[in-house]
Amino acid sequence: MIIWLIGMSASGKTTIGRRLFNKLSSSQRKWVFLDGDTFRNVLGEDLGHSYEDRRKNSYRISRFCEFLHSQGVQVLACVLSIFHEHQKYNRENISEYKEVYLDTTFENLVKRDNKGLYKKALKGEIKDVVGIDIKFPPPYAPDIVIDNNKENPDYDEMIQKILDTIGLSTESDYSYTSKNLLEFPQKYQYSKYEGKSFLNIYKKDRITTLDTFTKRLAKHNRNGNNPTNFKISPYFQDDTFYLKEFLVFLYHSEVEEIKKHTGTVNTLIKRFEVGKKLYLTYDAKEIRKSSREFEELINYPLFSLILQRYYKSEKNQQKLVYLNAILKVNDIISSVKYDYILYDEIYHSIDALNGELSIMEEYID
Amino acid sequence: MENFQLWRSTLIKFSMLLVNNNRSKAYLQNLIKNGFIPSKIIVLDNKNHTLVEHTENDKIISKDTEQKFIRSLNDLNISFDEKEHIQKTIVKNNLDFSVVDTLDVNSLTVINAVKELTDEYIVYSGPGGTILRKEILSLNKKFIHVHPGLLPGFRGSTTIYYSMLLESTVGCSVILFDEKIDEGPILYKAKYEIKERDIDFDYVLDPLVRAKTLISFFQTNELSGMPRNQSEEAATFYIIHPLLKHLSILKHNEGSIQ
Repeated sequence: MIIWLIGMSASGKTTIGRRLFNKLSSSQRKWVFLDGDTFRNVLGEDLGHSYEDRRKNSYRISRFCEFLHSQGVQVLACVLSIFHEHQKYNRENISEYKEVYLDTTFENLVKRDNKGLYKKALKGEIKDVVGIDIKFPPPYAPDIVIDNNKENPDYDEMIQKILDTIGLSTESDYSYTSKNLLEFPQKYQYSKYEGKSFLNIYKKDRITTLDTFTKRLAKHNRNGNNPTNFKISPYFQDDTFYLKEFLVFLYHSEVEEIKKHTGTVNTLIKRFEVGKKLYLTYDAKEIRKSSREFEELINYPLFSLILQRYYKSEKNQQKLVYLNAILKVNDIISSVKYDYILYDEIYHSIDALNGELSIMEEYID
Repeated sequence: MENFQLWRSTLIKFSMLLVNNNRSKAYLQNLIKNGFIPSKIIVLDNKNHTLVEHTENDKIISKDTEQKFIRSLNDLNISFDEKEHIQKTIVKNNLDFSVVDTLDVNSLTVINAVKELTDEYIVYSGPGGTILRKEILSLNKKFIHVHPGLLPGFRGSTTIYYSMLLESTVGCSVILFDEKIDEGPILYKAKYEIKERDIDFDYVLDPLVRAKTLISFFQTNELSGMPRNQSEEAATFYIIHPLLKHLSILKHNEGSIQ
């Protein structure tokens, strides 16, 4: 998640930001505290405070946040943001972007102005001060507006209000996708019972991942990219069974044809359940892995989609075996969501996750 | 099966192979309570390794407290003290035992210890999720195992959850592991409807339904002996995904998921 805490100079950004950061840091996720002034300093102070320099700096912060987010890093950025275009950029390009606006009257800003910035600007001693000679347009669509005009504000209450609104307060994270599952496979042994709220925690994970994928796909569409029409090619060659070719074949097959391959698919589930990976090739006789390569990312959504077709055509207990595997495959997809870059990977992953959510509606209200 | 009938028709003599988990505690405490005394117990224990199913209470119990923590299932009139380490139960009851310094049931030290047992039948309760391999199964011994699912329908892992989710009941099957790994007969089966709510499935329900089935099996005169049907029809379940696990528990606690 990326949070922009927006406010003018002396509005309380650093005070509230630090408290919020401490609270966020107590969660499982790793958070970075990014201060606008520190950011300028880190990049070598090559920009001043003119309107144009501020625009450049603001865009840099947006891009840097987007970059960190794509690496799975959580950022709390305290920024004097005056450019709606960059706030809009964040909303369109960062799947988990939240905006908090600290609303403080000008009178209070001047009163709290320890640096004497406003006074100097009012006297004409300095230029390029936001609120004096540079206009401050409040953010156009903040997720929450905090009135920070009280003499002695209750910071704890304020922080709680922010956390509640941006959805970080009551629910813990869905821990089954917090690590890269291809690197650290999940065994699911003796998993903890977390009560009914777990159902929402799970759902939130899937919706967040879907949001990331949808934004990425929109970018592809804007760039004129299209899905590939997979070609059906032989999936057996000599003693080798090619997984992707097999999955593509099933993907394009009718239900009757699919049913003929139930045995092979059940064996693939068995193999997947052991190592929680899908390999590039298997030996043709016993479908045992014959390759060490498991990072063909398209195989995961394709396998999930095929299993969903089996799930729908099955009536007995076997149904749950398919559903169980679908959930585990989709956990992998969600855990490596930032590695899904190609159009097809994203497109089929969206289908795989939506399909799972629609199946789960049969079980969860 | 004939040998087995013979074993059953005479005084039941058996040994046990245990690790210090809730299942073993439930087995041992209830067997003793019902007068079924093992002639020898092999305990797998290694201080450097922790069982996956270790509970918080196991850590407390290692401090040798006198406190009890009774886990019970009133529906089935069965209970066990979770805080009593199996070695404490063994010593308290003057039973013959040996400790092997490993948690690996397939290791050479365990194989050697099993070889030395004079009994043919061994009640088995090893670490969760482990499978007895060929080497140990080829020792001409019969391992009595209680599978927490009604066979042949509920094969595989964590079947207690699947059974609750699909049928709102829990089943157990007593089977024999020997050198023909998957072909041993189903000796006894039992199905239970659990009315109590808010029970911990992993640490209370599972060990207690298994213990109840084991005791009933020792007491019954009606053995099943039906083959463990390996038909393609029956599903093999794998470790349950946390979401399905939650749905299973919520269904039991609330009567429905919504």
